[in-house]
Amino acid sequence: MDAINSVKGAFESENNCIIEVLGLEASDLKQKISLDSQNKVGAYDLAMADDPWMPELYEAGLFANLTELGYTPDPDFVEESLAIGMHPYSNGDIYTLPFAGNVQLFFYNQKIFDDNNFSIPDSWEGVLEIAKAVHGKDGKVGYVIRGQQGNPIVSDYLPILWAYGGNVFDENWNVIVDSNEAKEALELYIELLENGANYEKNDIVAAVSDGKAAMSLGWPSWYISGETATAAYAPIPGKATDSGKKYATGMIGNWMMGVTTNSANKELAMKFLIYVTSAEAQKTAAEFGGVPTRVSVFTDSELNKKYPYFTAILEGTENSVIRPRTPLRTDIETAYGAELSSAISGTKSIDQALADAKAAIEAIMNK
Amino acid sequence: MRRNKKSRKILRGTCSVLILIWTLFPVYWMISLSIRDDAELISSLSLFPGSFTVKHFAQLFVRNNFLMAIINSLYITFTSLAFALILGLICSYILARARFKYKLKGPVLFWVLLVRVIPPIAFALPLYIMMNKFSLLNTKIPVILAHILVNIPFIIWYMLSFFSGLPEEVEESAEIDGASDMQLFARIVIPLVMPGITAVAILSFMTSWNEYLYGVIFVQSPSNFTIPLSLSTLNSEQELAQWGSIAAGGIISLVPIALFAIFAQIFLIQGLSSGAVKE
Amino acid sequence: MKRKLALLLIFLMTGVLITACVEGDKPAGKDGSPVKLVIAARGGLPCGCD
Repeated sequence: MDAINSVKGAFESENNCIIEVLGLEASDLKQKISLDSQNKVGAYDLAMADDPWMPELYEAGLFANLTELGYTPDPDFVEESLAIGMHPYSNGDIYTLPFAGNVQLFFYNQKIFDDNNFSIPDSWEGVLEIAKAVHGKDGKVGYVIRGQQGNPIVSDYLPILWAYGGNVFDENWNVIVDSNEAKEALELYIELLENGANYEKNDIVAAVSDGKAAMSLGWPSWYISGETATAAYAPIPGKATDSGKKYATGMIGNWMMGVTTNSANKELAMKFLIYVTSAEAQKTAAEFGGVPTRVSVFTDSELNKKYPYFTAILEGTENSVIRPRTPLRTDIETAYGAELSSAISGTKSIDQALADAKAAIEAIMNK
Repeated sequence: MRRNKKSRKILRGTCSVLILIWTLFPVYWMISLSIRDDAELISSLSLFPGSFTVKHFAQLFVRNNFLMAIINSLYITFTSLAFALILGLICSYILARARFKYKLKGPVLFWVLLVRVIPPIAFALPLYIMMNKFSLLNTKIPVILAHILVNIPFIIWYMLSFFSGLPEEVEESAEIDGASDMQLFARIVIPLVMPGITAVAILSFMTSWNEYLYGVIFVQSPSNFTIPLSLSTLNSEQELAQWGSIAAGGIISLVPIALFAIFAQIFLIQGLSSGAVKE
Repeated sequence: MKRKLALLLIFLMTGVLITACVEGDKPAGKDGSPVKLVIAARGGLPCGCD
């Protein structure tokens, strides 16, 4: 929001318009833009949206088709980010543009790593080894999972599942959450918990930043603000074992922005959208906490000196995976999260939990 | 016997202290969080602050435009409260005293209660559509009207027992002395139920001051943000909570309620001491 | 009493209407006055995800 306000001035004076930014809490934002989409003339000309909402919002016809409005895709956007703006995913027309870059990263405490001469693990087996070595010594915690039901545990477990070569769906939308890979990944996840702890996000960040815990996954903005980072970071390990195959594991979480279908000023709104996602604007916005979505801005040498995490985010984004593109995402996440949670708490066996998850997700998909 | 009395005193003392801690600790905790610096907030917290900063307060006003939110909240709360009190008190008095045709009083009272009993979200969407049709959505009016809507039934039901508990002789004698209906209501009845009005005003004030649901659905422009809305952006499910700013905002939003309650208390006591009828 | 109540109600409603007019939708874009673009955005921190 500060990022938009920092760049809007030039556009306002050039186009004789006033730009008003309504900053809302994420779930309120989704509720409001959905409500407003029912109106003939919308209250909002542009709307931001989180990438997992996109299938649902596209289906609802909330965003105007930018391709039809004459927009041609700009190859400077990171390919993975631009793909989210397309409907159908990655090969359809463009509806939204990536506004803010974001991808999950692997965070670790530099001091613990230095004291023990650990190097950044590139497999999950390696993560577990470090967790085992650290856990319990001087009251330190090895690896912290974010195992709360629903979104947290799913976001925290999926990168591991991907590293093992598993996924939620196969390419024909068959539910494969109970595959052998998934079982191994969940086994490892539970072992990580045994050599670590299960915290809520605020506590995870405090623990890893403070050196009470060694490692966790997380979103960049939790640890990094501007030029300072409270913990060291790297892309998420993409291999299950050191000798295993490397998969893409960075969960992408871009914030998109699009012109609303019921905007009274579509042309001008699109003009602003192009402006606010331009390299020029992203460079300015970076000073106000904005994270770019363009390769040229990510690799800008001056910005890179100031914000070294841009490299990690770019690398993470280029090796990123998109969460399943279905409008039923929320329901699936809830059902899947509940089963994963009962597996890590031990109320269900791994086989049982994953079989139940599969049944639940299939039921949701067949509704 | 004496001993028994003493031990009872001690017991009562400890109980009061415990209850006091129980109720006041959250307030203390909020204050103590709001003055700690960021570094302390994300590490392990001790009972007493180890650092002092007013940064969080300053940040609220500079970054989040909190002053605007305070003004909006005050405006919305007082306007809606005034309307709700005027309409609610009149309705309540009529419902307590007047006789209705076709035994309608029961159904009417029940109908009024329904507004309060049905979950607010049930009203939110129809109201949203209505307000939108009247193109009122980018004003403060929908929120004010919604607050009036929630508060009127509460005021009616709360005041009903006060009004019907008044001895009718008072009103009769005033009528004999030549008071008009309006004079009777404004000069005689209202002063007698002042404690009730004060209490209901404090409660309605709080409801409206802290109201979030209608605010979040109806407000469409940052210039209309209320305090709860403004604070909610600081505590998102997706982001780390900004404890310092949230605590600072909580304290600021506490002040008007506290002031209002203290001010209203004067009337609470005054009303109680005014004897109306010699028995 | 009834008459006074009615008057009071009319008074209140006028108040509402006046506020509505003052605060209400001001048409933009005509007579060279600036067009208003409204963006629904994430508040608080600039970037984050669930």
